[in-house]
Amino acid sequence: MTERELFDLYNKDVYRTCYYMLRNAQDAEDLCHDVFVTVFRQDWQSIEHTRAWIMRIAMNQCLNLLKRKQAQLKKQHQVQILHEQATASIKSVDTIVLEKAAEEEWEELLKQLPDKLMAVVTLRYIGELSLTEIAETLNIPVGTVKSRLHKALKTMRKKLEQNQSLWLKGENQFGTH
Amino acid sequence: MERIEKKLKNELKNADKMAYPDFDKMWSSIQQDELKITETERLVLPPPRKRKKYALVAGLAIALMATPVYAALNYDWSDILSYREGIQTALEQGLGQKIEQSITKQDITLTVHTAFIDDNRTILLYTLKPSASWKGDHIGFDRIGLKDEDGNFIEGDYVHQWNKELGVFQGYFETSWVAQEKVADTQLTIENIYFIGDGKQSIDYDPTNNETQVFPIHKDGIDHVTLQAFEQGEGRVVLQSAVTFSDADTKNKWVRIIAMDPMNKPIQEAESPVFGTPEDTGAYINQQVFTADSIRAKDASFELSYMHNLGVIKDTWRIDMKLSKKQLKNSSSRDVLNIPLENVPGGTKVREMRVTPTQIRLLLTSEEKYTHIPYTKYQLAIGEKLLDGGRWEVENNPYQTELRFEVAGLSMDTLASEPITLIAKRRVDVVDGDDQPIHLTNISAKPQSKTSTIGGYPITWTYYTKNNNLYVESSSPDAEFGGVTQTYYLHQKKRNYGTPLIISLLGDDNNMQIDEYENFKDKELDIYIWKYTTNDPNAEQHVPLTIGK
Repeated sequence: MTERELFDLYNKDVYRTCYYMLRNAQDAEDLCHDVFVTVFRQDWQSIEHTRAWIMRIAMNQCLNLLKRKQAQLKKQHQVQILHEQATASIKSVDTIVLEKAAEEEWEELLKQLPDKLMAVVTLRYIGELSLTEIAETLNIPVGTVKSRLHKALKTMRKKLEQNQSLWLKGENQFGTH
Repeated sequence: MERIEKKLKNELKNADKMAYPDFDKMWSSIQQDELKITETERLVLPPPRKRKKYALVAGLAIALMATPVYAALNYDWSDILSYREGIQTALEQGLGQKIEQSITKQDITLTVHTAFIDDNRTILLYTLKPSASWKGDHIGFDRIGLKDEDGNFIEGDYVHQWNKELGVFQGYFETSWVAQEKVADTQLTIENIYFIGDGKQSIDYDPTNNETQVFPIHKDGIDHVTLQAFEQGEGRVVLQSAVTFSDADTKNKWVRIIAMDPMNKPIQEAESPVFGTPEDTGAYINQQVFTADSIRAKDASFELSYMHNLGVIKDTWRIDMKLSKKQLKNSSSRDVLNIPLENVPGGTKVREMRVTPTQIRLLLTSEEKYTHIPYTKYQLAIGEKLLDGGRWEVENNPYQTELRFEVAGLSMDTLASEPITLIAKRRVDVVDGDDQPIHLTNISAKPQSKTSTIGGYPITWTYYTKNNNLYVESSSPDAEFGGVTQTYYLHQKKRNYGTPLIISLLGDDNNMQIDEYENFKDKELDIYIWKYTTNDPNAEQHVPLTIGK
């Protein structure tokens, strides 16, 4: 595989990870850039699990940057507009209203997730890392990964219940999984 | 819950909704091989071959752990090693060189149990068992240290405490000396053991009187004690005691004032006390801050508490040992970093990092002597783990400072693979004063006040005479202002400095200072600020040291 091929394969996942962790498009873009520079400076072809390795570098750099900035995730108006444009092009008006409400709600919910939970969530759902790989990346036990993942889902569910969101209907509100 | 998970997955993974940057442009930029964010933070990437070295190191560390030494585990060292967690961790892992050698002289048995020797330091765990009939509360030595093969005496620090159950003093001796060879013939030497008891003497101190009060003691090597109180604002009183000794041996025996409430219980100080600052005259100064209400309560009483020698056994206890670096040396690494510290004066940089299984030391070098490194709290972030560290002066080298971090709960494997970041917190800057005089007028026993500003900080000055001395107090309502370190006046172009009476610690929340000018008779005086400090308790600087594997 060439460097360009590697870049094309993982650039979106790395960017999304950076974006969801940093909540800032510019920072995400710069850090995504840095992740690949870092990767290419190393002997990347000898790495067995490239995907997990790259996601791990991305996550470490995100966490470092977050720590440095002591950043609480800031609301990015620009991103919301982009979301509106993206949905407007394919949905009917009625759907747009409903979808938009849900999107904004999700945006808000994701923003409220603490960094620790967000790290597990992005590695799991964007990076598609196994629980063991997440544990290795974050240097925490697998049990902690599981509990953080569960906590993240539970937190989001709780928030949705508070907001009495429409689309929660149909799911057993008091059930546990 | 599945539905939420599905929705979340979709939300995060759905490419349609995400506004991606121009990846082609990013690709061209990546080709430049320059970091955007991390470069400015001076990220250091270890070259690939370093990883191989680390891999080898990790293998050795595991092999060493597989052959544990259990001898020292008969004793519980965790209490005494609470500030040496790295040693405690190594001990738990069975690392360390088993010594188990004893010497008994005059009914006192000294035993060296375990030695830890790596590229940073040498630590010996010892016990001292006095005869069953010993009396006292503590023991001390005239001298403790190591002798190397050439007979050179190597000094170090020791800490020990009484273990009531076992009837021994348990302690450790620590020195930065490290044997040059793999195996070194060494001797631990202890000269003259003192038995020390706690002594008390009540004093008739009047806390409502701020005049200097002198109390003759003439007992246990203490001649007299002088007490002086200063109002500190916020209802606090600084109680300063100067202890004068008649017997030099009694020095450093922790003489302090204990204030007691009407129930005869000790009154807790409102701030951390400072004990034993030596004065030119040979006296020894303590500074304790109390709330005025507590020590001025009716029936509050005061006593002098101190340690004094009950007896001495003059002899030398020696134990010969062959100290071996083998165990810990193999898993140590030393990296030259040369990472400049931003916004730190004196061209200061992190020159090198020395990692051993028990401790990480960062050597900071500055281009100027005695550079003030403006942080008071240091941590190392290793992956998710934070290690607390402390700043140490490097002996005989004013251009260097060391930051030491005890390694606890981290394997060499983790140390090698995780990114390591230095975090410096709570900034305190020392700033030069200016040439603007503060004009003191109508100087008399009656306190006068005036205000001035420096560097944008307001300062309130209060001055008065007492016992023929002039006292100049300075303080600021701005918490960012750390305090005037010292004032001076000019006499025929020569600076005459006041004597600061308050012992202030960098970064403490007290910016009041009092300078004393002895035998002052004039009515007016122009004083100048020599230096002042500023505090930024929320400042935090992150310096990535290694990026990890």
